[in-house]
Amino acid sequence: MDVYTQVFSENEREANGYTASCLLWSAIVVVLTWILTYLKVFVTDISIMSISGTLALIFLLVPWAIQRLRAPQQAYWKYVMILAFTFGIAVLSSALSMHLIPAWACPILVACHYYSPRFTRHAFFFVHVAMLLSFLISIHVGVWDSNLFMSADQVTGLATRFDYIQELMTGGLNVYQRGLILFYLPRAAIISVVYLTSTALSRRTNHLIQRNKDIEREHQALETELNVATNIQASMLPSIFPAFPAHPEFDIYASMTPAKEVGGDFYDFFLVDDDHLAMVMADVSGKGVPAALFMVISKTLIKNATQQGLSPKAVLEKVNNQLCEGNDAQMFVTVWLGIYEISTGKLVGANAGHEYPAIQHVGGDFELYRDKHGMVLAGMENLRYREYELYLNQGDTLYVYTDGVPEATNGEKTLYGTQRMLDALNRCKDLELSALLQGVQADVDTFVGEAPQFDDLTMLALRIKSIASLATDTQ
Amino acid sequence: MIITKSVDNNILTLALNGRLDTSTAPELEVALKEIPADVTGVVFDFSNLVYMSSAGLRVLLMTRKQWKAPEAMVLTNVSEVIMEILEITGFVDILTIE
Repeated sequence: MDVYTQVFSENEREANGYTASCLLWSAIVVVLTWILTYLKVFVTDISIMSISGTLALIFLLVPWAIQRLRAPQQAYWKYVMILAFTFGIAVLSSALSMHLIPAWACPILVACHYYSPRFTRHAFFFVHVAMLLSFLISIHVGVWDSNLFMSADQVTGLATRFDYIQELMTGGLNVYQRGLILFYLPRAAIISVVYLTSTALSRRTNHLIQRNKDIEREHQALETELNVATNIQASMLPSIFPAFPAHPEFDIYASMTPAKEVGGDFYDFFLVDDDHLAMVMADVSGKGVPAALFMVISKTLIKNATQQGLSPKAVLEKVNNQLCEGNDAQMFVTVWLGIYEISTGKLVGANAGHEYPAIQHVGGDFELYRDKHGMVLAGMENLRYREYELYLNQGDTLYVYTDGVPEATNGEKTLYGTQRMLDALNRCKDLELSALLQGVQADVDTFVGEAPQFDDLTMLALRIKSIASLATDTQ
Repeated sequence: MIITKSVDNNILTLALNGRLDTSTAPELEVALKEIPADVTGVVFDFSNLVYMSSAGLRVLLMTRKQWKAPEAMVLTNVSEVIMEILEITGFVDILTIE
């Protein structure tokens, strides 16, 4: 089946409704004309008006009612409606002749809405036939028209009119020929111009609809690819918990809630060796595919460098230079990197332009750890980074996040901020790590309400269950 | 965001008023492309800048690379909020802030 068929059949249903509305409006105009004739504002013979008005209303209102009640889906239904419309006008035109000139354009203009040049052409043909018929009838029954008769006196009463026409014909004046030239031809010319304009419009719109459909299909294909990209990106992050069943000394949990678009947030954690756990929290500047690609490169480079056994400072310095190479798009990435020594509780951290971590020592509250900051990665070559050491004890919890958390914004453009984040953490500090992160997530969600969020929400938490060296010390 | 440009003693001053984020950063980028040839330095006046996102930082980074000498690009009247952003992202290390 033609891919456009669906669009056009959808359009046909809409156009049928529109045609029915035009029929109704035309019927209302007929009724108004009828009333004005009855009130003697219009000078048409009331008996002629009554006959033509009744017929016209039948032609106009019956298809309108069928469309409203049944809305037939068949392809011929539009022909039925357009024919009825044309006949309705023909009946009126037979009585009112010249007053109806502009009305002849209506069926063609309505047909134009089906965006089918063929259907517009058919409507044009119907209009011509109907116009010719109504011309022939109006010579006998229509109101006076100077193009048909010289004098208005001669046209009252059907019998008188018939005799008068016979008289003129025998006198050598061909009334039909004269009318055809003076009455029919000018109208036919006007309607032809209307037809040419309308058919150009329907052809152009037809092309536009096809092109629109093509674009829509390309767009869908792109969207599918983007969804695949988002899935690939999400599947790059470790997401099986518990992550290290062989290491009961610590508990780790992380989550990422992506914004609508693919973004550049990522977290990572992996064992460098049996005693060292590396944790990464990072945020690439910008959005979309460029950020996602940069994220993949950054994540790979950081993991590679860390697994070579380099210290956090050395990892950042190395990866910074690698990322600077050929970074024409001028992107950058903020990174917090920590390497935790499982046996001693020592955490060596380094921060390249990333948010401050939050640490809760056992019995206390979560507080921001204002660590030493270096420049973001990929900004400038050969920058020096600093690292720091701290010790985590049994029961301590470390929480790292991206700016999606503190920069979540509510409807009043207020930022969530680190204070609300710390409050939420402290309300949930006794819970399991997964519940802790869900607690923060829920608090952010409540805060932002219905306001649209543009940033990913990424969090990672580490809790120390036991430290081997301390256990041996106390024994 | 409103950007007010003025040149004095071959120093171009750009006063930023509003939010420098994804939607407004391209305006600043355009303003920085149209620098007259005789200008020897650029000063950013941040007195009325209320917010800066990573898109804004990117423009600062590009400008910093364009003006090789650190003293050729200066930030003035940096508010506490903006200063915190520059500190957290480490941009204080590579920018001259007065």
